[in-house]
Amino acid sequence: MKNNLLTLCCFTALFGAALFLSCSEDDNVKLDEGSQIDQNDSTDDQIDGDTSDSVDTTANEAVVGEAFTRGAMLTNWADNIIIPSFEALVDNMDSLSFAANKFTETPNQENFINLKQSWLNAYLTWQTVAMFDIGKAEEITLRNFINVYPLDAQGMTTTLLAGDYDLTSVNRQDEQGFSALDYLLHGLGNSDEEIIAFYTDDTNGLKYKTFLTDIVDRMHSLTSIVLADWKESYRDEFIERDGNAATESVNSMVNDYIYYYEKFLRAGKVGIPAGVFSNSSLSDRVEARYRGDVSKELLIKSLISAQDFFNGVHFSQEDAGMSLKGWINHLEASGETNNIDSLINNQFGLIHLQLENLNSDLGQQVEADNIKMLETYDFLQKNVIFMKVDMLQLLDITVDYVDADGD
Amino acid sequence: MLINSSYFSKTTSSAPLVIFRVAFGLLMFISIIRFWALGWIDKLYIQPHFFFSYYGFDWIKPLGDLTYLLFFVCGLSALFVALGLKYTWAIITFFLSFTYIELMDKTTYLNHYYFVSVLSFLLIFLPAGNYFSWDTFKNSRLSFSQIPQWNIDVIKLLLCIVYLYAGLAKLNSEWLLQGMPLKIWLPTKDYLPMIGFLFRYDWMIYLFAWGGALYDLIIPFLLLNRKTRAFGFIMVVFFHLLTAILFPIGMFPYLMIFSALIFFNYQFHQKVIDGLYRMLRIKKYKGHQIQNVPLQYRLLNKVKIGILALFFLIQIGLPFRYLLYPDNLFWTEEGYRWSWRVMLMEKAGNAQFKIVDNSSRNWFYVNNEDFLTSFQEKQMATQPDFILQYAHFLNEHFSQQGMTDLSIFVDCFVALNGRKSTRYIDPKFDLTKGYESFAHKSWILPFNE
Repeated sequence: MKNNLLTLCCFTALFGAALFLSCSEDDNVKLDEGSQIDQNDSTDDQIDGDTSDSVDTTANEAVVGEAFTRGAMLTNWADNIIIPSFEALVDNMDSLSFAANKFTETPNQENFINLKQSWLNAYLTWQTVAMFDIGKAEEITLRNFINVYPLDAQGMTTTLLAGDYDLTSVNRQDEQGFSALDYLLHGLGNSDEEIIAFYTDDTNGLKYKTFLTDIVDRMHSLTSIVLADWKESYRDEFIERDGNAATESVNSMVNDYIYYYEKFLRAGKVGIPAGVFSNSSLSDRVEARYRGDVSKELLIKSLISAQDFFNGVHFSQEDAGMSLKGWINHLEASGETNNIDSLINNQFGLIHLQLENLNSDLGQQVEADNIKMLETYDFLQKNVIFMKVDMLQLLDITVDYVDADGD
Repeated sequence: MLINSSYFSKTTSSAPLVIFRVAFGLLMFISIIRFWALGWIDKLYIQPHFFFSYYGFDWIKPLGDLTYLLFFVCGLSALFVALGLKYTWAIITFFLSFTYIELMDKTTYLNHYYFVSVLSFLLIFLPAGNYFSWDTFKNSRLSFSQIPQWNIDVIKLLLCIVYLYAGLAKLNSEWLLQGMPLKIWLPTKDYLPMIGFLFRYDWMIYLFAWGGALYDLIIPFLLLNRKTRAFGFIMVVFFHLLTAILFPIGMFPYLMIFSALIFFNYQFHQKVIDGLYRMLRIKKYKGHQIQNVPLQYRLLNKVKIGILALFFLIQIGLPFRYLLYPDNLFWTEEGYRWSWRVMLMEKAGNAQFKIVDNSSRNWFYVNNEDFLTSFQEKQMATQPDFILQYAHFLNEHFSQQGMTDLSIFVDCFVALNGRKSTRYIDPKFDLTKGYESFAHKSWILPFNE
């Protein structure tokens, strides 16, 4: 009798345990889902740009000897790279805001030139944060409001003249941000005088001024929100989630990083203008197309930022802390080694060399000699393979974490 | 010819088969609910634009919103199996619906799902509904407490095949000597409480690799032998719960744990059934004995035995078909599926397709994201049959846009078990000129150690 009951109990307990375990496991899996789906499917036609402005540091020797921990890596990322980059960006946004106000108060040539310079400074710094599409930036889809290009210039002009607009709308993403400023500062006419005339025009001048300050304010506030969130709470959360599961910071950040490199740097800045995804080249798809001669500079900034992140180089400094390179070294120290970190850094080097062959205006490069652009794309693609295939295999991180059972 | 050898006329209690049926049905029912609740039906079978078919099964596709109905039918039939309600129809329905689901997209292929399909096929031929079931509560004349011994033994045989082949597949240098792919997977589990720190040691990886292989190879014998059975079962529970903690393998560990109960003697199962009777307050029927079954039943038995004999021949032979292909099995994956090769490799790849319009000489790359989910893209980039099928899909897609004379090439790099990535597919081969068949795909570049 007692025995029978015991057997039954065992059976139900086991079943219960099975149920419990399978369910609790599901919970984990579910959590991941929300955080991992790329909200950012802005396809290849609309690409955001990115950032940068640190000193050109090449592959520093990352802290040899220091024991690798994911926590140390996350701390380095947050404290020495991500937060300082956002701080610099917000600083630049302050200046941009100031310059925009000054220009709208007194639309003269001097203020106009200052404004254009502030725009470029901020745009370059943007390249240093664009890859950090995580936390608040991800939540508010920062990238989609700051740097979608190509700009819908016609739509933007209609919106601007109508005067009644909601910049928070998803439909307005390609009518604001750096590319909108690019157009407003460089695309309205052929000379400074012609452009300034739009802002001093009796009929529509006020509308142009208002729109200009509105989009600068919006960029300012969005980036400030993200910085504030990092400083107030997200930093600790980011560092605490130091496991290797798909939900954790390391996995998300690495996925975001590679996604950025592949979609926004490789495809957005080079591939799409060179026409690798279309039947013909599209020189008007370059970043900052109205200004023109800075598209290569923006690309270089973005590339350096990506490489610095890989090597753990602190923002705008020479020192480096723990990052992907250190992690790779740590893992390869204990087994046969493919020197994946050198593969990737060497490839970054080759890309830089290739960039020296390009016109500072990538749009002109496409028009004049697109072969060089196509070659650049191939150089960039090679690192997609090193990072996405070789590196991720070593780090045991699943690409775009797929939420499904395995074998 | 009558099958009258002494083995096939031996009978035994039907209790083990009944417990097996209940556990299997309930686990499958839970699996379907879990799959549904996680949103995977939508994610895997509704959202994608394109689905990878198995060779010869391209007529099996997801059914749009009706896919939910398919899962509903599948889940309901699993519940019916557990209850023993219209058992034969329920298990046939379950087998067909579950197998249909698995055939819809080979992206989701898992040995576990294959195991479920195979097992449910086997259960169609077994009288698992003739005792302790809804059917027999309604009509006690259907109830048999004795069934042929082979009805139980075939399940044991299938389980032994699964374990032994899984064990044999691990006897390769990657697994045993390189410790791959566990050397990639386990160290990243070092954040786990209690056991995590162990994975920082190399010897631990080898212990897991050798232990895992040994486990698969000896567990059938431990379970078959009465004296070692209890120990074997403890091993089963330990091993599968460990894998459940370490790897995202869903319900499979629980399925294997409950399946292993079939090895216990009938007294154990009878006690469980008696306990359930009391718990559910069901009046107990004395089952009929099976001895005096009429001839046609024995004829049917003969047919069943014939079918199952063929079934097991296929099960035993199929995993060896890889020997018919040249080159490295892990690299080409020709003859890899349906062979209980579980967790044997870590493979990652990247495939960039180049579409060349032969009439204008224009070319462009494909953005895979436009057509595939990230899961599909990941699977596609490392498996030649996926690459070929996708290329043909692209050809069709762009033909419809007016580009009728296309060549399609792929720039594909694959890394296998920690090796550096190398080119996988001949970049000069026009994939529109390749066709799926059982023959070796000569455009897979040879594996370089």
